[in-house]
Amino acid sequence: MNLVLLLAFPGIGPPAERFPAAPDAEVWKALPRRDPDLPAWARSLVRPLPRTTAAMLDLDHTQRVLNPLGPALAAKVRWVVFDTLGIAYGKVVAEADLRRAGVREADIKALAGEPDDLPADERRLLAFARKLTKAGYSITDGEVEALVKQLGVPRTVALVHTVAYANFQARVFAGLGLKPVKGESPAAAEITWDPQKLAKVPAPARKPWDEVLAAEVPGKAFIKPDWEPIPFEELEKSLEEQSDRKARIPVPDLGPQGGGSGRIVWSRVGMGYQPALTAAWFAASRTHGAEARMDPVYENSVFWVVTRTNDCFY
Amino acid sequence: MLLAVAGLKDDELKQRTRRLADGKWGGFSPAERLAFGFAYKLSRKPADVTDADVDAVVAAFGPERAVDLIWYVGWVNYMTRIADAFQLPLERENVFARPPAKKP
Repeated sequence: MNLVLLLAFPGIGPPAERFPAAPDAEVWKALPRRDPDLPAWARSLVRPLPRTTAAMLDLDHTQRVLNPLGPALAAKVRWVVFDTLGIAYGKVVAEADLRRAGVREADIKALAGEPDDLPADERRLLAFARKLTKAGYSITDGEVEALVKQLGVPRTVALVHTVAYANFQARVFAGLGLKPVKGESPAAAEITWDPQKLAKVPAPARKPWDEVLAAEVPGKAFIKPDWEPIPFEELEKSLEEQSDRKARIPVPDLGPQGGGSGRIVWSRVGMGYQPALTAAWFAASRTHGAEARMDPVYENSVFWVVTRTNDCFY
Repeated sequence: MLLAVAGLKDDELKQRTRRLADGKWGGFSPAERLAFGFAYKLSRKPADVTDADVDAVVAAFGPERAVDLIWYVGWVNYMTRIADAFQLPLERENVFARPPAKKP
């Protein structure tokens, strides 16, 4: 019966007979692709932290390409943070992004000049980025209020996340000892991972914690902080005062969708105003936690030391 | 709060915080003192971190844990910039604890 129909109506029939479709694997074999160039930090991190590196590449793309500030302003903010901290590698990457975004050389040079050389609408933002990097504890209510007036709350949150991201990167770049290499500043790429395969990539075993605690360290290796001693009672008072503070922007209620994050003020601000930037950051954080599995008391003692170093009583 | 979340009892938490706050870090293992000093320098003056500073951490912790520390110090520096900018209030209750299971 079918044969009769095909003979009577030659247009009917599976097109595969005339133009056979190739399976995907064959298509990709016939169409060579080029893997995106990777930044130096990814090449250094991939052995100890493979899945974290993947999450960081996603985060990097979100911050540099999808940033609600736009790629040019986001790169200027990052440049200013790296300049404040003296991180040459980060500045070169930010400059490459600025050129890719079409920013003129004169405007890139102006970043290193006097504040009056900058466009009026960027002066306040970039001064804020420097101050938040150098002495975040000294940011005033009025400074944030002025930013919110200029940008609105969501873009102000994007600005702060961009400053925070560059501060994170600066420590990673410095810790890894990255130096700029001429002509080597690849664009942030959007990469499609195979989540099932990626989940199975193992991180290498860490040195047993008992061995770390028993390690001998030469005396000259110790670094002492220049903190003024703070009595414990004064610290407790500062924490108490921080609990009583009112945030400088309204803290959104994430509702039932917020899950566990809905109880944490930090998460409510991030997910409420800038969910893409915050979600990419959380993904990298979670993945690092799962791969590193740091001893929780040691980890949170380091947290304490860094917050004390930054005079941040969060 | 995070030290409490990490499992320290109230008196342990107070004792540890006092020792962390004095900056001498007596009573901690040499590796922990090394990590605290490194975290301090990487936060305060990242551009001044030297190869010798990193080599010392790698010698005590191994390369993987050294990278974990670098990453984590960066992480805290991200978190504190958000908290400082918006002066986020600290939660009074332990928001990281699991909510009690609902009775059937």
